[in-house]
Amino acid sequence: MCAERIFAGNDDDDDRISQLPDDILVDILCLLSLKEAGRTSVLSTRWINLWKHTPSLDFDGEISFEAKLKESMGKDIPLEELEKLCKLPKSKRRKYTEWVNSVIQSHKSPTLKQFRLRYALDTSDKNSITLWLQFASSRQVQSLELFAPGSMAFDFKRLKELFFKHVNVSGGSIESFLRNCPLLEKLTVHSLGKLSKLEVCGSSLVLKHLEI
Amino acid sequence: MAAETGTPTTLTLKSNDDELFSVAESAAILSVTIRNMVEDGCAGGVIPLDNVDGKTLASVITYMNGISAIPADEEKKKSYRDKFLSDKDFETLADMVLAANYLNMSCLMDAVSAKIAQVMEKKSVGWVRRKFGIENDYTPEEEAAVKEEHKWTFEGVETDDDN
Repeated sequence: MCAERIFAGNDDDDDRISQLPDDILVDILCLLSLKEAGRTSVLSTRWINLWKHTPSLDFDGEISFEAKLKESMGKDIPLEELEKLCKLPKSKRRKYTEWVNSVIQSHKSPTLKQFRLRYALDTSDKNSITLWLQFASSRQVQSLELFAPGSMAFDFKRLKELFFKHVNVSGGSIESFLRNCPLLEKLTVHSLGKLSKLEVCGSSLVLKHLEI
Repeated sequence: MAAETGTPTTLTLKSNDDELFSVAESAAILSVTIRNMVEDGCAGGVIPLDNVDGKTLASVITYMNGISAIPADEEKKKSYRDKFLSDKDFETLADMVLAANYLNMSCLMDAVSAKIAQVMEKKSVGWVRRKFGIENDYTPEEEAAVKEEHKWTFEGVETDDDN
């Protein structure tokens, strides 16, 4: 690939990349997956903390359930059945939970543009999810995407985009969530259950895009 | 206005090693730094760019002229950027990303950053160190500790080192 070409003529040991300023290196790390960005911490002491400043956290876990859900679209499969279909073994879920916890414990960026959780967690992971939502809220997240049930009593003053992907939520809980998101511009709800009624209201809601 | 009268305004840019370059204002204002100077009326004489050397500035100006000659067509602009960067070695890319940052040219910044990130993608730590000449200054114990702390970054990851 182009790698060989890029390094043509770079025979000396001059470590130009490590001499670039932090903000440029963080920009570059933002273009890598979270795991790849995190792995650069092992390169040298210069790199140990750089990935912790990326403003986007995308926990792309095992997403095989997304295909299963797509298959079941249109078929009238009961909710409990669907949940069973997507459920992953406890060991896998624990691994994912540990991963997210370990990252958010060391992550240093004061604000987040994006926080994305993609995994078939379930109600037994409620405490962790609550913790993650609190984290996202404390970092003034702008775009939040989650696949998980969970409590929604948080304040998301800076949130502009919100995706509920296959989350088992009721219209009522979305409504109460929206009251905490005065700047929300884009709302996407792909609900597992049937959404019977959704009232979007709020004094300062600036919603521009709604997809259900 | 200038374009209508057939005499486009040109600016004179000066690199930190005292080379002078003439460039059309319409191309130069791709740089927000330069645009601000023009808008503030401080671009009358020579514009000194203290953080960019002549070789890099020449290259950035080639880019400015090339990209501003393309009408608003994101596809064409992208393919111009790819072609422009395709024969640059890493030294040049590093100079270019620093210059783009200083000149506040987000389109060039993003393109060069993406190019550098692409090189690191799916590569092992050892490969990246060798290719970029990064010296491992950890003691073996420290390195083991950092690896342990970041062991999630090695899980389920396949690298495709090609040397």
